[in-house]
Amino acid sequence: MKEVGVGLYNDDQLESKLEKYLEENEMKRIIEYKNSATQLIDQQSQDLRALRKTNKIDDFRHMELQKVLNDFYVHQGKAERIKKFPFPRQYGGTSSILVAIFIFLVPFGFASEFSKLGPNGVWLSVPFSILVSWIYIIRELVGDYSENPFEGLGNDIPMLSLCRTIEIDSLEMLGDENIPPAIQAKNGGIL
Amino acid sequence: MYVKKNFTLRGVLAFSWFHIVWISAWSLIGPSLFYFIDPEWLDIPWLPISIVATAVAFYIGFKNNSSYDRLWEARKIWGAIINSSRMWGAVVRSYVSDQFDPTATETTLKMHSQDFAVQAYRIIICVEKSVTNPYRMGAREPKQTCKKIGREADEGSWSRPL
Repeated sequence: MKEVGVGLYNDDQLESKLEKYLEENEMKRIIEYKNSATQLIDQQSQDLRALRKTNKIDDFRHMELQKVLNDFYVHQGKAERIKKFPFPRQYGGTSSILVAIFIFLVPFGFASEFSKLGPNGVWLSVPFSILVSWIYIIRELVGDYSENPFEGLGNDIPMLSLCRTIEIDSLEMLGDENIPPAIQAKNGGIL
Repeated sequence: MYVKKNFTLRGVLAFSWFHIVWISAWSLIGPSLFYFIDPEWLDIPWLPISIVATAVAFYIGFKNNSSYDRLWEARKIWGAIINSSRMWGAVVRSYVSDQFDPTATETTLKMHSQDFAVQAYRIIICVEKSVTNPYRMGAREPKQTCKKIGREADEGSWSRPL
């Protein structure tokens, strides 16, 4: 999985890039917090207050702007509840056990069925056992990999490319000239 | 996210070759017992195994459905984050003005255009940090103009000449 997608392992897209949009003192302070995103939005609220104080916005606009920030808190909370609450392990774990029991039984059942074909018929059961067991294993694995969508794996939510979309849109609104390129797929994966 | 239309056979094998190895080894044991020893008690009927197979298939089917729900909910949240950040950009750009400032001059007009720049830049960070994953930052040269704009909101930096 390591060579799939731009940005995770080989392209070094790390937190040090925070300095792009934050002043140095502020960046050091923000990184110290347990939950930097929460604190950043809180600071945005303080900025809005300062804007209100200097009459750059009136009360009504202040409320509207704050409402958008509150929306961000809602989204953050929703994302965190997926990230921090695992898929209930009683469901996830039991299915592996059931699949293991089934795969344990399959060769014996098939061998006894295929032995009806003659003395050498049992060997024909081998490819069928492999096929059936493999199908169940694959089903189990596919479910396992979908459980946690924020782990940076090949099938996860492409957060890097979504963030880049946001970055591009915001910078274009501001009329910035250095628009970063959109994240491209690498070996069939977008992260 | 995988973007091609189909998985290749090679990709599937790369994903599961390890399992195929041990499944093959295990699948040889049953037939070998039958062929070389052939104990009569081992001649188990297929029916109980097929009942187990059905039960397991149902269970995994429902479990995978729930797993998919988590993935899809995550995607919906990120869609909402994109919408909100566009909203934020547009709203900050249009709402922050000198309309309500009786002392507005040419100089302050220039200033607040940088005010909203700071605001809009900052939300990019919020969004990028929001899923607590340190791998998510975009790589680019530091934005000099933005870095130059000091940020001391508590001291009322919005009225400070830039």
